[in-house]
Amino acid sequence: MGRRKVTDDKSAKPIRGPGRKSKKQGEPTFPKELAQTEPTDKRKVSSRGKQRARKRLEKDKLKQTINKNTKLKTATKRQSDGESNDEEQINGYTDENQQWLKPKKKKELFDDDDEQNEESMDEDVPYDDQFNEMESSSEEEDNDNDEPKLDIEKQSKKIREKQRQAKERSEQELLTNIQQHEKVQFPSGQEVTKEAPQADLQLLMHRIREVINVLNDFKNKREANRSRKEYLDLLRQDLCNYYSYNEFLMNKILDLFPLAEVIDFLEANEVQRPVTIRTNTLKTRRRDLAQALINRGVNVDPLDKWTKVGLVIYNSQVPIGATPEYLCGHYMLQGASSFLPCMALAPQPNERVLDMCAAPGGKATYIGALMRNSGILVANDANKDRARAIIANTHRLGLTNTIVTNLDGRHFSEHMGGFDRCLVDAPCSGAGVIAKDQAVKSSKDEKDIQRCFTAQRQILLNAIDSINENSTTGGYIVYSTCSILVEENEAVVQYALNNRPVKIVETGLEFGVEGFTNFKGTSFHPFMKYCRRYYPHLHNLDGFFVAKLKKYSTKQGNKKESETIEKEKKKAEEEEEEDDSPEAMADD
Amino acid sequence: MRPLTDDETKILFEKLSKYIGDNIRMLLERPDGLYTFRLHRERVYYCSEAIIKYASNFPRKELLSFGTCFGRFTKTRKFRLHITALDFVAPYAKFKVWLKPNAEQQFLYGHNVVKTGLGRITENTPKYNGVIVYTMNDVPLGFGVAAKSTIECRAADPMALVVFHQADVGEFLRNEDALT
Amino acid sequence: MNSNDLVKNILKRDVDEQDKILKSTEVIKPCPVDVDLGNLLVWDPNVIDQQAYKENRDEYIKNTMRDNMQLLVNALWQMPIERHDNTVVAKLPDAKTIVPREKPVPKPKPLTKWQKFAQSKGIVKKKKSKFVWDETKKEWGRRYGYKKANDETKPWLIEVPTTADPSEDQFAKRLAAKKERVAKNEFQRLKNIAHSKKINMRNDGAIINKKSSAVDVKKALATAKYSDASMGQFSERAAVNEEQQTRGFNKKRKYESNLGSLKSETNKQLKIFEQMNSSTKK
Repeated sequence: MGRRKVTDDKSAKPIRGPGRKSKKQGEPTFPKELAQTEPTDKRKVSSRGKQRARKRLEKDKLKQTINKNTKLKTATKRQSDGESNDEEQINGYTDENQQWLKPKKKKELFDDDDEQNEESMDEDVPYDDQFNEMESSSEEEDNDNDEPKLDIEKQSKKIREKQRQAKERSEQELLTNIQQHEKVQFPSGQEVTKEAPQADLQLLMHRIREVINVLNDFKNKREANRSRKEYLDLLRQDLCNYYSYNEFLMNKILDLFPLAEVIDFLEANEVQRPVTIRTNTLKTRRRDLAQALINRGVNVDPLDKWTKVGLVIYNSQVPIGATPEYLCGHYMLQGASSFLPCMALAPQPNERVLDMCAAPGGKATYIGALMRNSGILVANDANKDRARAIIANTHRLGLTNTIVTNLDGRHFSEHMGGFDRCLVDAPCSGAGVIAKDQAVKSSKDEKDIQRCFTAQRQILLNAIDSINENSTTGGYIVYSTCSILVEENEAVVQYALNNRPVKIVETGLEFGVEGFTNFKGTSFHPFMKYCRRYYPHLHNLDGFFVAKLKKYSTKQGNKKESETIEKEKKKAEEEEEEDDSPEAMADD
Repeated sequence: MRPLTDDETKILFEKLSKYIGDNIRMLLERPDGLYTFRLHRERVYYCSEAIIKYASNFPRKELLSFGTCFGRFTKTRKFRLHITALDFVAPYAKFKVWLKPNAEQQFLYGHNVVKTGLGRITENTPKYNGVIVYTMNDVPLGFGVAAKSTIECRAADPMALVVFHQADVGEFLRNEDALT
Repeated sequence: MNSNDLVKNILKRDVDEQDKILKSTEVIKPCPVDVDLGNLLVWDPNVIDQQAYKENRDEYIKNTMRDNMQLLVNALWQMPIERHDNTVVAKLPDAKTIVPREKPVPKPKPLTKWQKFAQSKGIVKKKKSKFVWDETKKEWGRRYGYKKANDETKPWLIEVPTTADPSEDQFAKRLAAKKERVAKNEFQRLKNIAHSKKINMRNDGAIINKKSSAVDVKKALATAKYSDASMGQFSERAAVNEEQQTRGFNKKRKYESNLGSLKSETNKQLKIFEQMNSSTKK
């Protein structure tokens, strides 16, 4: 033993920490539910909850003080009638009006308005704003006071409203009469910033036409001091306003189409595509189905010559998604454009086919029908709730070869591989189906697109990984999106080409615009022309993109491969013909 | 996913035999390959051997459905037949009921069938036996239970219930979530 | 002369240099600084001379620091000073400034049952020395623990009491008693902990789980049924739906192989089907 430290009691250190004994065995732990629940214990409030409570308190206080003030004021006024303080004398309102008129505030507004109006008197609708302001301010006060309005007040308000509208109309007419002259009127700097929402639509359209006219024959029709860029900016601004797109998407659209087509495209987006259905060839034939639907009072017609299963519905007396035929699985409500990737995939019976993003199962059930209920079809979707729709649809349409899974498409190949064909209908920005969902117009920006295409790239690579390249009948991947943007289509395919042993092959679709081989300076693989694009204004389909890829084995020699591909092509063609034949007979 | 135990098989067959009787044999001995039942998350699926083997490779949690779902076992171990089984049950049906067009819609909304809606009924249908409900042009609509035997039906008054509703194809829309 | 001058010069220069380097210990500040010797802290409330600061910042800070340091050291020397082995030690007073804690003050541990009792009775813990004199060994030893003095389980001889059974092992008895005491203490410790954590507990220390009481009863029933010599082989069935009650425990689930022979499976199912048919026909 060493020498013990001599210490006096005061400076002696108290023993720290637990002793040696407790080191041996820690304190036992108990599950949470065992703890006693004390009734006195208050429920814990989260930090947000506290904030909210604080705000509530403040609000209440504010309200109280305001109430007090107003009460006080009215009281003093009533007491002192004539000899009120200076402020009120200046205001000079009678008691009735002071309920809804706040003189001081209103005066300021008037001043501001006058100044503004003086600046833009000649072009804008002059008295409009003033009225608005007055109206709104009075309304505000109505709300504040929470007083029940008198009948007379309501009537007077109505009359005022009517007058205002009449005035507006007359003024607009005047303006349209004045301003329709030939030259393009560039708005002044101030106008550009503020005019946007209220601008007259007719005038806008007129100006758009003019600008396009000028741009088409720029040398002759331009104003001397205006550059092409200025015209384009104006055009973009006007199109954004007229069709209520955001600038980002409008830029993309302007890049994609020549000027002549832009307006067609935008107009087509305002119109809904016709309702189309697909006959379930597992349960019925198109002619029988059409007959049954006609009997129910539905006006149907065969869709087009490129499909043997599509029907277009012009009008219907019954809800088309709830007829007994629908419930019995004789047809599927499906956009015509979503036939295309399945046709491009051309699945053969007894193959293993994967539909990576299958929900709600429209394309998956078509694939199943093309496979004639043989082989194996795996329908996967990352969203569980949407995957439920696949189950209902596959059962309704009588598919028995389907496995429905809920895996992340970006990691699918970790679980399963060796497929003969794979359809990747990737989730996208939806820039092709603006007619269906108008929200796309304004909600998408650069970041959304980026998020989309990174996911698409991952999914596509993973789909390629899950394909069996040595498959005797397949080895194909079809990539499709309902977007028209190059970033989500050609660029994604190019990315796959760079990173995986795949090549682009013909889709087997007879119509559609060829994919871009170069776009705004970036050049893609020359075979990108085999891809197909579909536009609402050209094909009366939703905006769509279809690309077909073939995975080749890196071990095999090139020669063999090309031979097999040719063989497969022939086979596929033959089989397609076979596929069509019974239906063709049925139609005859 | 697992095969059914003997008890479960018995419960399933008892239920199925109410609708298709001895024709269960046709489901088990198919000429086009080996088909059988599998239990996955308390649901019974009917599918081919290839699909069983393929589907068993997916993680249990992420596998939502395979083949055809016949129904599910309730918590009290009773078997409930789902409308999804209609494709397999309808062709082998022993007792059938045909509905008039105006009664179709009623049945598809989940209502029982009254005598006025009845178009035809198989002879000798016993009381409380399972029946398959068809439209007049032979499209199967769902299952039911005969509330009256064929003979009783003739004597019944027009508003009397003839078939109790069990399942109908309208459920594909009405409760999509419950099917799976 | 020459050499004397030289020496003088050198000495003088030395003194000058020292004067230059060593500043005086007296520091005069316009506003007296606040010295907290307990924390060895000086708080200088004087206003910074902006001009001097701007001209040469480092120099200014260094000077101020030096002055304040000097003041601190001066204050230190004011304290009562002792010398221990050629080192000078000052005794610092208590700190004046309150320094903030990093962590909140720990909550006092809830009292154990004994502590509560002692408090109510006014029993105060007596300090006992760690070492006691062992009369038999003739040396000092620990009061408790390893190699403790006066260990009652390890005497070289124990007299058998007249009342006791002569065949009883007195050593084993004492050892058992010791073990019992240890176990009791441990049990009390755990009870105290459970009590401090407000666990729902019965008086005998059993934990009450309100949530799963129904399941517990079933479980207890099932366990009790199997807890006889024959492992429940001859015990009567406790309830009609015993199968249900005991589902999930005591029995391992066994299913057929998922990927076994399908043919045999269908054959089995057909057999079941036939059995079913025959039973209904009868």
